[in-house]
Amino acid sequence: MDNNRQGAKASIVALIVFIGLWIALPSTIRRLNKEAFSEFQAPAIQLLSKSRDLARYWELRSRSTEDLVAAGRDLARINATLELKLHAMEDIRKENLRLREMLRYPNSTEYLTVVARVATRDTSTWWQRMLIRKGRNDGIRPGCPVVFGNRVVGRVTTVHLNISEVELVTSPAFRCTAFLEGDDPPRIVHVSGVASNPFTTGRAKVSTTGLGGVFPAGLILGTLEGGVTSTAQGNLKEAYMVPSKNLDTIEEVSVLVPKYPTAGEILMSPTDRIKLEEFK
Amino acid sequence: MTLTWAWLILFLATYPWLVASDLLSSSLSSWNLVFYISGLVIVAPCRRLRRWQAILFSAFIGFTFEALRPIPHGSLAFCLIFLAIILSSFPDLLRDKARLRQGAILVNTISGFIWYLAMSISLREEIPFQFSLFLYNATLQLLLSAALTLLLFNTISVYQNRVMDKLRIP
Amino acid sequence: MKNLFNESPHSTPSDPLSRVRINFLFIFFIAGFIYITAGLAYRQLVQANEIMVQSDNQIKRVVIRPPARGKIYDRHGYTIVDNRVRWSVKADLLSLQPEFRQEYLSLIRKAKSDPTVLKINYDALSEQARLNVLNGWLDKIWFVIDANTDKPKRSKNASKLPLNKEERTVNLLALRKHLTESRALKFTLITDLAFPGSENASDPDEANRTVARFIEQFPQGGPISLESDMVRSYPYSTMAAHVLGYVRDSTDLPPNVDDFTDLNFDNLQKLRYTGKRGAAGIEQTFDPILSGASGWELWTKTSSGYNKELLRSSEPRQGSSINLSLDINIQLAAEEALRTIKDSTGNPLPGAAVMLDVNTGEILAMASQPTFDPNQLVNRISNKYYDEIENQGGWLNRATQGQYAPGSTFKIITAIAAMRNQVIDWDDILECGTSFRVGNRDFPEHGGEAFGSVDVEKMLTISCNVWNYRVGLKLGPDLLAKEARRFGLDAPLLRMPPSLSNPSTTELPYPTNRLVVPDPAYKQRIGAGPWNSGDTANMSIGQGYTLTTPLHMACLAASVARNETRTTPTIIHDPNRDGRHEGATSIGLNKDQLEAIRSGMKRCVEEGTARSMQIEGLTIAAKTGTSEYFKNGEKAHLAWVIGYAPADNPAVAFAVLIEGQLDTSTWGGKTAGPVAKAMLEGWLQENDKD
Repeated sequence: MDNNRQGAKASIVALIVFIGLWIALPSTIRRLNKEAFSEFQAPAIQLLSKSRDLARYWELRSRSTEDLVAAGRDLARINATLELKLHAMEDIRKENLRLREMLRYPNSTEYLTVVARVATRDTSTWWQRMLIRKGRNDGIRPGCPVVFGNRVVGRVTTVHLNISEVELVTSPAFRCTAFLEGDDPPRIVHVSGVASNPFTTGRAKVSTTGLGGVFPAGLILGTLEGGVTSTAQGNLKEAYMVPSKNLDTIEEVSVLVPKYPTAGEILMSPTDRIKLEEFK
Repeated sequence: MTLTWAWLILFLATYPWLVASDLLSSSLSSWNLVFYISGLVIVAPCRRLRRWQAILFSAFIGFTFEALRPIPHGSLAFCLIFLAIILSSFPDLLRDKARLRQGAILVNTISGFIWYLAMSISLREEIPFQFSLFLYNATLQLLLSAALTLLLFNTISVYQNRVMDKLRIP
Repeated sequence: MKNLFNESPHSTPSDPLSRVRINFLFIFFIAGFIYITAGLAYRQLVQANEIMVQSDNQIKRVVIRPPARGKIYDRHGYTIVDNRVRWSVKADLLSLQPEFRQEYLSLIRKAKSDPTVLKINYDALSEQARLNVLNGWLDKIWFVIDANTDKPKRSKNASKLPLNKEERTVNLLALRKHLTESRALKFTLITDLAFPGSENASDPDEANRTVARFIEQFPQGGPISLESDMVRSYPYSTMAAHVLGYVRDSTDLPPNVDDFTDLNFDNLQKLRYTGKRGAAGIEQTFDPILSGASGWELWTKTSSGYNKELLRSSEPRQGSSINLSLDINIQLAAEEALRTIKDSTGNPLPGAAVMLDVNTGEILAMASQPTFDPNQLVNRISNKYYDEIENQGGWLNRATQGQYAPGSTFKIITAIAAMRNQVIDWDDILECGTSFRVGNRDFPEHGGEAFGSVDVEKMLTISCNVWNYRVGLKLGPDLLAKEARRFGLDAPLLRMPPSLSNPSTTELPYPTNRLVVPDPAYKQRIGAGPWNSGDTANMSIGQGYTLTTPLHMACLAASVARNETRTTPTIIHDPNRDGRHEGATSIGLNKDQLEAIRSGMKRCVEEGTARSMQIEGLTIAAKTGTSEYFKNGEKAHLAWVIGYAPADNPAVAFAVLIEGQLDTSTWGGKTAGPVAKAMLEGWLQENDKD
C-alpha cells in the first residue's frame, strides 16, 4: 500500500511536470490534439443526427396517406407562390445589377451558400452554440455568417473536417453591428449577446448593416424588447433584443461563405497565414 | 495484449454514454445546462485499472469532452488525470458501494466545477464576468452533476464492471 | 527592582522614606505599563485603520474617469453643442506582457548573434519590443479596417480612408509617457476610430463602416478592445464658434461624484484619464457648469504597476446644459452674409455682426469672421490648424474683442449730446458746405458734396460731416465724452450675472479692456500732446481716438430704440427676463428731439446711406458709418451699420462691422448693409413662425 502511495506522489509530480510541458508546448500540438478528438467524435455526431433524421422519416411514414396528401397539396401551393417570387426576384436582381453597373457601385461581398443540418446544440450560461453537419470539406471557413432564411442564426467559430461549431446570436460573445427599423437617420447599433427568451413580443426590428463586411445587409437579427435605457455615462443607449428565430427548434441553416476570405478570417486562421502586406 | 489496451476498449465502451449525455444536453438546450457525466465515468474504472491505464482513460474522457467546447484545452483532462491518480492510489477510499457513490459524486462535481471555472475564466475577456451570475449558474450546474451521478452511477458502474469482467481485468 | 519588592513586606511601615520611595516606584511602573499598553491599544485599535489604509495605499489605486460635458442649446432648444460617441481602440498592456517578453527575448537573441552590436542596451530593447508588439497589433487593426474584400484587388477608385500616418504607427513618445505616467490604464492605439485623422473628417457612412469592420471582423477577446467615450460635437461646425469656443485635453478633471465617503481618497495613488476642459468661449466661461462630476474606479494593482482587479466604481455624472440666447437661424444668416462680403480681389473680409433683443438685451446672433471649426479641435489641436487660423486672425471674436473707431455711427451720440446741452434743437438748421475749416486745416464733407440746409433728421439721413464738426466744436470734447460714457461706450459688458455662482467674471472670455472714449486728459495721458479743436472735430464724427466694439454699438442702437441710455447684453436665454438694464436711465430728450433722431435713422434706410438694406414690409432705423484706419500703413475703411427694427415698435437691434483691407472700396451702407439685411430677414422668418 505504501508503495502505491509513493507511486501516487511520483505520479502527481509527473503530472505537474507534464502540465508544465503542456503549457510550454507549441500551440500547434495542442490544436492537433484537440482536432484529433474532435474528428474522433465527428462520426458519432453525424450518426446521431442522421439517426434523428431517420426517426423523423419513420415518424412521417407512420402518418396517414390523407395527411400526406394534404401536406403535399399545401406544399404545392407554397411552391407555386415561391416560384412566382423567384421570377420577380430574378428580375429585381438583374435590375439591381444594371443599376450598380450604371453607378459603378462596388458589388457587395459575394457569398456561396452551404446548407447544413443542425447536429447538436450545446448551451450553457457562457456559450450558446450548435454543431452543424458541414465542415472544412464543404468549404466552410471560420467567421462565416450562419442564417436561416433572412434571419441571422450566428457565426461559425471553429471548423472541423465534417462538422462546424456555430456561435449563436444569443451567445454573450456574439458581436455584430445593426440598424434599427424606423431609425432616421440610421444609427449604428452594436449587438452583443441577445437575450434568449424568445416569447416576449418585440417592437422595432433589428437588422444587420452590411457595413462590417461579415454579414450581408438587411438580415434580421431580432426585435427590440421595449424599454431603452441609457448607460450611466449617457453616451450609449441599451435595450434588450430577442432573436428572430427560436434557436432551440431550428433544424436546418445556411452558411454564407464569402467568395474571398475576409480580413478578419485571415487574422483568425493561423494555419494559412497570408502576409498582411501581400493582401494590402 | 488485452490488458494493455483494456483502457481504450473501456473508453470506447463508455463513449456512447457520453454521446447520450450530449444528446440530452442538446435536446434540452433551452435549459442552458450541460448534462455532465465525464467525471463519474472514471470512478469505477479507476478502482480496477492500473494507474497508468486509469490516467490514459481519464485523459481521453477529458479531451473528448473538451474537443468541441470552448474550454481551455487540457483543463478538464488534467483535472480528471489528477483525480484518477488519487482514486487509483487510494483504493481503500472506495471500500464499499456507499463510499464509491460518494466518491463519484465528489469526483463529478469537482471536475464539473473545474471546467466551469476554466471556461468562465477563459471567456472572461469576451463576456463581462458577473460573480453573482457565475455563482448561481455554477451552483445549478453542480447540483445537476450531483443529481446525475446519483441517478446514473449505479447503472454506469455496473455496465463498466461488466465490460471490465469481459476484459478479464482483475 | 526585584530586591525592592522582596524587601518591601519586611520593611517597617514606620520608615516613611522607604514608603514614599516604594510608592513612587510603584506609580512609576504602573504609569509606564499603562503607557505601553495604551500605546499598543492605540496602535491596534485607533491606528489600525490608518495602518491598513497605508498598506492599502500600496496595493490600491483610484482611476478617475471624466464625465460627459453638458449640452448647449439655442433659445428655441435646438442643440448647438452636442456630444458624440468616440470609439477608441485600446490595448491592455498587462495582458500583452507575455508578448512583450517573447519579443524582448528574441530581440536580445538577435542582438547577441549580431557581431556588429558591441554592447546591448537592454532598456532600449525592452522599449523596442513593446513598440514592435503594439505596431504589430496596429497593423492588424488597420488591415481589418482597410481590406476591401469586395474586390480581391483594390481598384484605383476604391474608397480609401483618409490616411493619417500618425495613427498608423505607435507614437514612441506617447508610449513612453503612458508607461511612466499611467501604465495602469489601457494604451490608446487609435484615438477616434470613426474619424481617423479628424483633419479631414470622413463622411458618416465611412465612419460607421470603419467601426463596423472592427467590431465584426477583429477577433474578439484578447488585449485589444474597443472603448467609447463622449467627445464634443458641434453639429453646425463653424456656427457661432467664437461664442461657443472649444475644448482642450486636460487631466485636470472636475471634482468627483461624492459617493465615496468611506474611502480615503487623499492618500491613494490617483490616475486620471484625459478629460476635456473648455478653452474658449462659453465652453471656457461656463466650464464649471458644463463639466459635471468625474467618476472613479478603485483598483488593486500588480507589483509592476498595472491594474489588477476592479473593487468598486462610480459612474461619472454628465454636466448641466446651458440655453444660449442665440437664434440659430439669425446666426446662420449673419454668418452666411458675412462670408459673402469680399474685397475687390475676392478675398473675404474680416468682420463681425451682432443682433440683440431690444427689450431683454439677449444676444440673438454674434458672428465673427474669419472663424474656425471647433470640431477640428476635438481630438487634438494640431499646430498646422492652429497656425492657419492664427494667420487669418480667426481666433479673435471681433464682436467683443475687436476695437474699432465707430465712425459716423457716433453721430447719434453727437446729436443727442447737442440737443441735451441746448447747443442745438431738433428743428435748428445749419448751412453745410463742402468742408469746414478747423484751425488751419479743412475738414471735408464725405464725397466732397455740399448738403446745404441740414437739421438733425437730415444729418442722420445723409450722414453730414460738417454739421457734426460745427456742433461738436460748440459742445467741446468733455461734453461729447460725457455723453459717450453715459451710453456706456467704454463700459465693460457681458458681466456674469451674480445668480450664477461662477468664478469667471464675464460671460464670454477676455472681452477687450482697451475701450476708449477720449477727452483732453486721455490725450495727455497717452503722451500725444495737448487736445486741439481738430481732435474735437474728429471725435464728433467718431474718428480719432475713440475705440469700441460692435457689441457696444449694438447696445447703443438697442438703447436708442428703448429711449434709454444703457443696455445690458447677455448670451444666456432666460424666458423670464424682466428687461431691466443695469444703470439705464431715460435719454433725456423731449418727444420732438427723440422723434428727430428716430426718423433720421428711419429715413437713412428709406432714402439715405443705408438704402442697401431695405426690406419690403419692414421699417428699419439705421445709421451707417465709414471710418478710416491704417492697415499695414495703408489707408483702409471700416464699414459700420447699426440700427433697430421695426422702426416703430423696436424688437431687435443690430450692429455690423466689416474691416476693409488694402483699399478704400469698403463703405458702411454698401458693404455692411447687406449683412444687417440678411440678419433682419432671418429674424423676420423666425418671427413669422411664432
